[in-house]
Amino acid sequence: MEAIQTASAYLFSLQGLLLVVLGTVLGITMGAIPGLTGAMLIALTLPLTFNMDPINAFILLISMYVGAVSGGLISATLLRMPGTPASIMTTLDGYPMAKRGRPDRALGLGITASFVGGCISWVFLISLSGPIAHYSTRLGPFDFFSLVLLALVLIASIGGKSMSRAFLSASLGVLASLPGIDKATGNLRMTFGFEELNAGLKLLPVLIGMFAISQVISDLTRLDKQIKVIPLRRTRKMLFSLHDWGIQAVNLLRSSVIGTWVGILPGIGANIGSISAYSAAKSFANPEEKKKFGKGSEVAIVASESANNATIGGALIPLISLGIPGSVIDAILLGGLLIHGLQPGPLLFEQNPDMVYTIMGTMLVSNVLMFLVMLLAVRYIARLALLPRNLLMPVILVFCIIGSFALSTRMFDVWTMILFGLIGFGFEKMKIPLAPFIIGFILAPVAEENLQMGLMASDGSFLPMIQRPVSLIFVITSMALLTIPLYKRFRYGSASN
Amino acid sequence: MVRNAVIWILIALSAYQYFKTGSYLGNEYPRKPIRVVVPFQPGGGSDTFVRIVQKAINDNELMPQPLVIVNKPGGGTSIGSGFVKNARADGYTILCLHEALMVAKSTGQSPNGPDDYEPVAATGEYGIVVLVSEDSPYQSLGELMQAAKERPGSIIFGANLNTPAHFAAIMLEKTVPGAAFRFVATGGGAHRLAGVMGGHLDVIILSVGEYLRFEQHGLKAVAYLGKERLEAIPDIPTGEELGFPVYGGNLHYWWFPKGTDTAMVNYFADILGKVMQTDFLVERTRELQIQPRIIRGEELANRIRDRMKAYGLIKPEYQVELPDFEWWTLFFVLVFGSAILVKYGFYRKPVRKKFVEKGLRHDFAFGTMAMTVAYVLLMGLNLLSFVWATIIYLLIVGVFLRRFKIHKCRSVLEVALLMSFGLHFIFTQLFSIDLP
Repeated sequence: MEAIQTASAYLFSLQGLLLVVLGTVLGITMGAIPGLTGAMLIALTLPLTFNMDPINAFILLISMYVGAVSGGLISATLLRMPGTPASIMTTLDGYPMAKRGRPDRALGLGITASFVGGCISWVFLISLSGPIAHYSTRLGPFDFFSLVLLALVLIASIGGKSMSRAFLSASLGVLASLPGIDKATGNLRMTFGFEELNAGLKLLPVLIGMFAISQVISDLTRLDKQIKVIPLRRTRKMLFSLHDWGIQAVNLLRSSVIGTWVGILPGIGANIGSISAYSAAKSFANPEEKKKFGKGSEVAIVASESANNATIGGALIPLISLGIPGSVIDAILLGGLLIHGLQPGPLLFEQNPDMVYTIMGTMLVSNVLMFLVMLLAVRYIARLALLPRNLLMPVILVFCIIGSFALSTRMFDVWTMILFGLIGFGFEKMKIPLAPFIIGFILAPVAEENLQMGLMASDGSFLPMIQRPVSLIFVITSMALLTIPLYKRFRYGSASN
Repeated sequence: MVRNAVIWILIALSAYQYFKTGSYLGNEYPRKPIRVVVPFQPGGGSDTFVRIVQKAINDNELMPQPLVIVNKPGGGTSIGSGFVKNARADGYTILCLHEALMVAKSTGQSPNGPDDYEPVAATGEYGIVVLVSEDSPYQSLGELMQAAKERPGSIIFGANLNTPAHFAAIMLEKTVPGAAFRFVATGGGAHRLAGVMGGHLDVIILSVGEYLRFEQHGLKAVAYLGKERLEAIPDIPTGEELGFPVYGGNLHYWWFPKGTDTAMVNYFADILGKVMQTDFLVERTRELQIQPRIIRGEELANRIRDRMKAYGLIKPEYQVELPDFEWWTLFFVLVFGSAILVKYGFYRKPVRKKFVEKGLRHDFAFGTMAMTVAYVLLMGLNLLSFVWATIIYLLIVGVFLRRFKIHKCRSVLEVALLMSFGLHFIFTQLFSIDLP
């Protein structure tokens, strides 16, 4: 109870509310500008929060998260470009509807759906994370190791088109996490004599490189492309009518639950949630509605937007209860918790309940604020999508450099960032997905530490991995996720080719 | 008009700020802020302690210049300690690091040891306690040691290897001939706590401050590893009383780079001495169960020598063969890499022209990146400071991306000036973050 009071005292102070406003508005704006993503914004903001109070820092970061996932809808609808990967499915129906002269309707549907999705997943967040955290103190090192394996398999098998590319990406991520000090023995490894590698490759420079720099490079190659915007003249009548609520209620609930569930699964985030809810909505729709999918269906917009916002609450559940990130942005937040000296994991609830309640409270407040800001200011935000990008890109590069440098005031991190920017751009060219790399990079140390801990306790035996029931479930699920797609491919693959 | 005026006023203000702070120089030491390097992430025990000292100095105006904290985590403290070792011995860079410096040196994890520095003082002592779970079968240190002797290797001891806690545990082992724990590396204090609560670890060591914070989670302290019982935990016997004379505990040591002027060393030690008496520090350290004492001069030199000798005697052994992660990871990279190459070689589908993006400007992308590399180099080699390098970089890149149409480049100039002076102001003054 005391912790809830502390959290709300922070959140509802003038400073706290200003931070929520700042975070949400910046998040929406960055989400709305094509080429700038929420992951980028949060990675760049993190170094600025070093000297802030951890609670204030997280008020800012969580509001940015909520804003960024929501803002993508604006450019998806008006520009046919998803402002963030989370809104890919919204482009399919939002843009056609806008083109037929109903941009306000398309945006209105999306905004309300985002709000409802956020609220529903918030309910799951507050009701599930406590019990999960409580239960998970019983999980041993081997259980955590199997959970990380499951996360890696999940993101590789569900995330993209090519499983081998996703696994390559994940194992390269693991490789990048190895240099530095071996936690179990304290010995140096893979530093090749560079003293500066003793600390390993830091999360933030790698993230900024992979997500911000590579994105800037690929945006710069498209500098010549003209962006066409559908003008937004009216912004009245954007709210749902009673009739709308009647039609969409089931869809909203289903899509939000799917979004939350996908969010909870470790490693995969908003875009997958949105895609899953979209296809579910399509298969549940009546034949008439089904024909409209892809041509401006209201049901489709609502499904996609409620699901992507619902992943936020879902993905925060494993973050605060297990210390395992539910999405790439949560991975950055996990790094943020560590930098602020908090230990994410089962004990966060016990040790820093004020932080847990701050995260929960901020998500709700920011969600409400996002709804208001989007309804009232969508016209002005839409204009920002047209900021001259040749001015914007160098400025972002300067921010990236400061961000990496500020981490531990050394140039080595800046070079790391530039290197990983180029690697990220290479990944994009070779159609290798980035997300498995980041998840592998972040989770490998967790897996390694737990495995070492488990082996030291079991005297080198791997047997507990299949003797402990929880671990066994994770192992079997991973196996199934690995073998089912392969089996299907061999069974039906020759026919379809 | 208004927009332009606002932009130029902002530029003028931040440029004024830059030249004002940049040109100030006095004569007496210290004439600029002193940097304290903390080789841990913000928020940990050491960082918290240094921040209390910083606040005590700055609030009570004990020094004419402020203390600035620079966190340089990683490499098991060797990154931060290496940075100070190689810093100029001008009295403006100091390291605050506890006995991990000596442990890391004596186990060969770090090349930097006490001999590479001028020790200034050791401040703020904190003790450690041995803990078991409330429902553990071993309810006293005696029972625990007895079990470790009767069944060597059956008691699982959670401690990060080669840390002061690990060494304390090894010394405990040595008090009973034949006793052996099984050590499990655990990560941070919170992990250790979770391990004991979940029954994965039998016994752990935590600092007294941590213990008091976590006490209500079902922990039982069996011994305090200090010379005398502690006021805050009067019921916990010391190791010595129980017949296991082991003294753990740690202080925050302050180290200047080797060759720093003795006058500066003494000046800073005096300041630390005054800090230990401030009300703020006394009050905060009581909350954290740290003794606000200070050791300096001859006593400090003796203590460092003693501790180095003690750590040098112990050689930890590894009990379990761990899998070779490097090898397995490389193996998987090769497997998946070659799988993709094979697929690419045998089953390549012809790329349809429609899907090939046209009109990509790789010259823009790689031109800008080349300039970025030059920009970072300029700052990295200390040829230009952040402000000037940024102005030049933003002007050149801006003009380049506007295709050298100079007459369209007014906004480029505005952005360049605003970003350089403005960011310098925001980061150094508002966020107190060092810039190159």
